[in-house]
Amino acid sequence: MMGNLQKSLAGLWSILAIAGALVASGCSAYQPDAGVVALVAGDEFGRARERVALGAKPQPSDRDFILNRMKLLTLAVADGVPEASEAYADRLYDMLRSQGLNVDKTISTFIAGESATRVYKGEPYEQALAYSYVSIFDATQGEWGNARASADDSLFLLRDFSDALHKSAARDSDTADDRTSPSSQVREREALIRASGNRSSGADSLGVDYRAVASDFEFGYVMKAIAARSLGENEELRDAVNTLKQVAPALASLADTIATGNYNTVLVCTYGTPPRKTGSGMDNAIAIYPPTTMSDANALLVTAGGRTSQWPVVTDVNRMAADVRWNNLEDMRLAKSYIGTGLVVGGAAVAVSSNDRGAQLAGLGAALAGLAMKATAAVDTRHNETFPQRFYVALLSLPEGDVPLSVQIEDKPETQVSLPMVQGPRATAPRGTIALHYVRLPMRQVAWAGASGVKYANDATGDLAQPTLPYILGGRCVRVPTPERMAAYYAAGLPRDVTLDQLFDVYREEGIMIVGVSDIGEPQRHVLEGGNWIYTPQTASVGFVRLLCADHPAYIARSAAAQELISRIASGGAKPVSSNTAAPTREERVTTAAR
Amino acid sequence: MSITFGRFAMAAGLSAALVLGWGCEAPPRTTRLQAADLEVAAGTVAEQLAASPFMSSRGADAPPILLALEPATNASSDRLSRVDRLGIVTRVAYTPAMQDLFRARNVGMRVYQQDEGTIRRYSMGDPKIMAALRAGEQPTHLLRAEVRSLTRQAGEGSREPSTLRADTYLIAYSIVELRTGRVEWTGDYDFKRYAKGLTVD
Repeated sequence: MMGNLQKSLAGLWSILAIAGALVASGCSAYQPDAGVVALVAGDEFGRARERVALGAKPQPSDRDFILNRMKLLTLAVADGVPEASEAYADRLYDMLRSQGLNVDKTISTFIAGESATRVYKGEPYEQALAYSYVSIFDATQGEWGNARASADDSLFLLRDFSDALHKSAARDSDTADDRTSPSSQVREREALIRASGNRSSGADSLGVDYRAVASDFEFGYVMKAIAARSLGENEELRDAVNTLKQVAPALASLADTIATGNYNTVLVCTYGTPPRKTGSGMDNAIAIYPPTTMSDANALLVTAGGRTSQWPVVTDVNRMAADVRWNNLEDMRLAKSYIGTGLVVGGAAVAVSSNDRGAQLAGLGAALAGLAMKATAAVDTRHNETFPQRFYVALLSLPEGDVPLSVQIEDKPETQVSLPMVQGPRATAPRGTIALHYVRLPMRQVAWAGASGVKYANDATGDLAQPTLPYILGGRCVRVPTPERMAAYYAAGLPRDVTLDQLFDVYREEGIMIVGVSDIGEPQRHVLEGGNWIYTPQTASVGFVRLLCADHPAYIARSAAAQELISRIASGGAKPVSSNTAAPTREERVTTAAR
Repeated sequence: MSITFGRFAMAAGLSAALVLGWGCEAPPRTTRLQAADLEVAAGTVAEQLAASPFMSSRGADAPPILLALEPATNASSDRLSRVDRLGIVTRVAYTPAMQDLFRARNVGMRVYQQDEGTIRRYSMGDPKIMAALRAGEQPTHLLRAEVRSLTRQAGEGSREPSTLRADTYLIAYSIVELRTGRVEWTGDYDFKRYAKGLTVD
């Protein structure tokens, strides 16, 4: 008798230990990076990319690998840096196209919680957005075959539970407008769990009847149709446009323009931050998606050549996230399982009602195990906080050459951005060529919003009117140094005995990496913003405007080599008397920068 | 006796585990094109080209032709990097056997200027042979390829989640005479890939 009791106590301690470990491992909810969100709101994508990259592990086995690549791709595309975007797009696309990444994780998820075991692949709406960013990136590169493939991938079939929801009357009380409200989302999701009732659910089934239905992702159809038109695939273009009209009748006019309109430039604009995935309901076991940027129907205003055109919202991410068809329902499957265990209530009942000491301990153990599971039942709230809230698409017919554009959302003056150097397709490009540009609009007033011209020599628009020195030597040139470039540097005051190799040495001493020269990982923050990379963003990107069309503080050299060279330039090129030449003062450097 | 039986049972258990381990190879998780697919396709198509009337009809004294290699066009459901699209054609043209044949049949080869860097960076062939078109140099022929695919998955209206996806790829090659636009040779290779597992998971 005593032996049995000791065994029972030992078992109880084991359960307590396991329960404690589970609680400890499963309780850390994901927190969106507020710093990154603030940088995104101000279109400071270089700093945001650097911040995300710092915490992104390089191993694909990392459970957040996809999440971090989604963020990095979103930010690199917004910054207009294809040298960074390409690697992120390659890796992200490869992972998204891998099926069943979490296929063996059902039991471990049940025990330890979703966020502690599952590889993040994103909710279906996030996957569709990620495919879209791959598609946007490829389209900006003129790779329409690839853009079409990714756009098509974003249009996977959805699970429609409307029959089950109508039976439980969960939708009847809600209007279309308040379906994004948290209370409505909770009601709908609890109704789904009720609808699953006592039906046995399989490993990957909620147990609610549904039909596979066509996607209603408007932006996916728009990208697919534009890509098909660009490739001359007329049947595919017709299909995409017709489906777009069916799923979004309000976009019928845009759909017709995509099919038959006279345009050579596509401007994709996004705005806002996505809904925040949050736990709700009992034990925070149900995921809901309250908006962080409120939805509205304000049009996009695009001004080019003195004419302003208006373009409607194409996709509202708040709407997608709130719709159960765009959720993976993993949270609801687990919620159902946790509720179904009845461990807490059942175990406690046994413990209280039984006269047998062993049964009491067993009941108590079951109740504790149940409590531990409740602690790990909280939903996995990982999500990509760098996605936008809405997408716009403007179709423009631009002349050859650099065209200044101004973009803003109706009634939101803080979103206004001027793009002084948008290029339509070149005259030599084959007939029908379409150029696509991407602009993420700021959420607050930015200092460079009204930029009117290029202020730094760069590899997209070339030299400034007057020869200028490299930025790190006090000038305004952030071009890749070449033998031809050296002539301009000599004309600007670089001592003529400084060779190209010596100039590269100075960059190296300063720890500055140059895209195309230093092939070390993906470029991060630009030297103009205090980083250590030199590259030229795409001219129609906000990255280009923010970096090259606005003034930046003078560079402060760190290495002795750079400081010595700056001194020589300031003294008219004379070589220093000794190697201990004093570094110029801050004032001297600022004076040099103004040359 | 019991020890012998125990050892026998352990050996049987280990054998069973090994057999099960071998027999339970995880199903493929993606239908994306793999490097090995492109390698096999290029090898097969190179053999087709070598045996084609286009090549066999040419002798060492045939008028020289300059073949430009163009990255493959992607009309498939997969996303192909520019490196892969270039590799699809360079792998056909740049094999020792094909190089010998080209030399014997007076066929020169060039890549476009914008692809020369990729050729060097990814060691896609001897840079001297895979050089870019020089100023004023005009190719007479073009080696091009197109990748197409057909995807099969459970469709609209189905009541079960689809876990199986199959993609059939076709890579079609052609050599076009640039002056007349005449297709001088075609070759192709097709293959199928399947993957198991929920797409959204």
